[in-house]
Amino acid sequence: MIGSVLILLGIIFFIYQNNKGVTFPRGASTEEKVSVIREKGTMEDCALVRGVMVNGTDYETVCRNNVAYQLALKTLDPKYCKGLDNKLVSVEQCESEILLKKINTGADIAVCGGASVQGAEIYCRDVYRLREAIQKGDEALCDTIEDIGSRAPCRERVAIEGLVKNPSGADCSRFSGSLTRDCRNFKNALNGGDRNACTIITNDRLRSECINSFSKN
Amino acid sequence: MRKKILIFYVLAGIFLVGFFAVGLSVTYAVILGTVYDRVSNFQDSDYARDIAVEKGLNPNVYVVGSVWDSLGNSGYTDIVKYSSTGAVVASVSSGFFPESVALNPSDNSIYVIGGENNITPGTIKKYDSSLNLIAATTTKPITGGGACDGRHDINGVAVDSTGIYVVGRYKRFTPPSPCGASNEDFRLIKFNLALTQQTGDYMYDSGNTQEGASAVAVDALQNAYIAGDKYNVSYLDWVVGKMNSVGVFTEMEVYGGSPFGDVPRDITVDPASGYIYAVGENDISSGSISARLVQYSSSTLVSVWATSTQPFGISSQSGGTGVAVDKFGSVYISGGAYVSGSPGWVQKFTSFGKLLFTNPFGNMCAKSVAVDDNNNFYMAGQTASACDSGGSDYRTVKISSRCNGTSTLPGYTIPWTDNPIISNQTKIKEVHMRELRSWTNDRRVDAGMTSSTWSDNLIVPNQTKIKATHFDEVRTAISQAYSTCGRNIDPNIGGPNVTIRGAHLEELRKYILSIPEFPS
Repeated sequence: MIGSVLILLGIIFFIYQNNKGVTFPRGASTEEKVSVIREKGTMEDCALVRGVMVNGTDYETVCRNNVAYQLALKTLDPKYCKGLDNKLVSVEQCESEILLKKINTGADIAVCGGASVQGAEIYCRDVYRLREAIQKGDEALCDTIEDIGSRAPCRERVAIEGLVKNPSGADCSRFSGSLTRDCRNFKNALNGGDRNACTIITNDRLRSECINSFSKN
Repeated sequence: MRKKILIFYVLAGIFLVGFFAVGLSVTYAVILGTVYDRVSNFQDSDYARDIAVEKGLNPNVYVVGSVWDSLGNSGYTDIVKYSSTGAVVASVSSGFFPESVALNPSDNSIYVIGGENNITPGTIKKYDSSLNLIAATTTKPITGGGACDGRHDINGVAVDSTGIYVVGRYKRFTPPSPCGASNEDFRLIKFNLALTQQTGDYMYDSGNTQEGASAVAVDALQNAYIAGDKYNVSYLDWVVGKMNSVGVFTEMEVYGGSPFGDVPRDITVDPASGYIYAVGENDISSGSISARLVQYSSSTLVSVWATSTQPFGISSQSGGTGVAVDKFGSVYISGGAYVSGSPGWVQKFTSFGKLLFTNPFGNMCAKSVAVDDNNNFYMAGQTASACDSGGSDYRTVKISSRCNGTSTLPGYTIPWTDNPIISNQTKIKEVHMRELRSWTNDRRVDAGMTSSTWSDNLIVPNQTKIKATHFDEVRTAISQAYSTCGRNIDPNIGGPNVTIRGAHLEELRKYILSIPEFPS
């Protein structure tokens, strides 16, 4: 009889534990609990920190934001961004980040329709057009970018890729500001075999390409 | 009535001879030990860029950087928290390319910035100590900026109790569309700690068309010290300046003239002394890069001293990448080589610019350095035969540094009570013994030892008799510390029932101050 009761209690405890979804280390802080939920849990598990405030921040909200953001990041699906509170972390920023990655993996411009915020959708389309301009080596495509302030950086990026592919044929005067300097240093480094010229290039793409060109030799 | 120490023994003299006979070495002893050395391979190209360390006895560290796969995609784990023993406590994907991290010591939250790329704005994210994302925002064009304003390249972050400070290079193109020649300026944006509000946005334009900020540090008065560069005709000049709390920028140093240029990479403030330190690369011309470290005065806003260093010779082509200051005011800098096969390194200097040691790290580029309050320093960077080359992994190393604490600092003094002790005049008091004990234990901790325990732990004036044992204990304890630091000293305690003189106390003080070297 007692044995049966113990077995029954054990089953109830097992079911209870499984229903909790996640288990926490003994003595885990609220932050550590949310960290576990972020890695292994679901949105529902965030109820386990309901009403808990840490440094003035509601940790159920933090928990939900983290679960939503990590889901979006792992699946590259912007729909999960709508699970964000849109205050501590904005839906637009999340959707922009996810769609950027999506475009970078080769997705079509149609994926931009998955954004729920107009700003993210425009940004996504602009990133796609940037990618098209780079791939085709066509600066004119940059003028189809909707954000006017992004057109000049787009043209420069296209020119950077042209420079990387054909350093000797590049015209550095086509760049503006520090990119003109970077272009000259890039060419100097490669033409003169001087690795040091790479080190003061400020553009990450050119700097990395410059130094790697010496590492390969 | 002052307590007079009752004397139970006389210093035999041999003790002192034992101390002095070993000579007057001027070599700064240091014992370095690897606490942990972690290599994390997240993807194809893992590039740790910055590190921040908590306060306290067993601090965690936070390492951030960039992680790419072979196709150039991001989204992988790129923020890692290591425990004091090197275990991975937490890790997370930031979703962007982090460049710099700052830690708020009041709650161990961290701020991570970076991510700008072509038409993508800069990203700023706040995480708690378990790497849960708390808040996020992006950089926006300046208020009133034209439609042609470009994206803001952000490079450095600092934090104080009032907010966070983000610096970078703000690029403006000339309207109208399609937007012509550009102008680049220093930009500092300040946010509140919650990242819910931008509280300041300041620019600095010296008149040059190309200026950019690389790093920022902040003092107790909300002054931001910014390291950056500006293009001067045909080469880059090193620029360090102060931007006060209302955005007024004062140049502290413009340094340059070498064929390719001089560029600072990092900057920090010593909160105790107010000195500012910047590190970077100088004399960037064919075959002659070196690291440059400069100390600036926060009161006069000029450089106090500058030193160039090439730890592994000119052929290594090493530049400075990071700088940190410990609780004693000593300065640590990291560096990496642009020539395959040369090691990365960390060097320690006194606040007077004297080199104390160099610690090499083979097959790696050291990108950042941090120090804790327990005589440990940390280095984060990439495993690579040369800086900035691809195909690397994160590498984070914690090194314990013993016997190289305060005692090697020029001009360092201990504030002894009744200093000096004058024979037949100064009464030996309880406070003298208490100080000897306290500073002896300080030296032992500096040597990586445990504190010594004392009989009659609490000496009560007018009650506790000072016995030979008390002096024996201090002598033995400091002698053990000398032994740990590589100097063997026979404490050679004298017998009981002899008279302690003021000189004996003085000798102990000198040895406590001088360790790991013998007093001169």
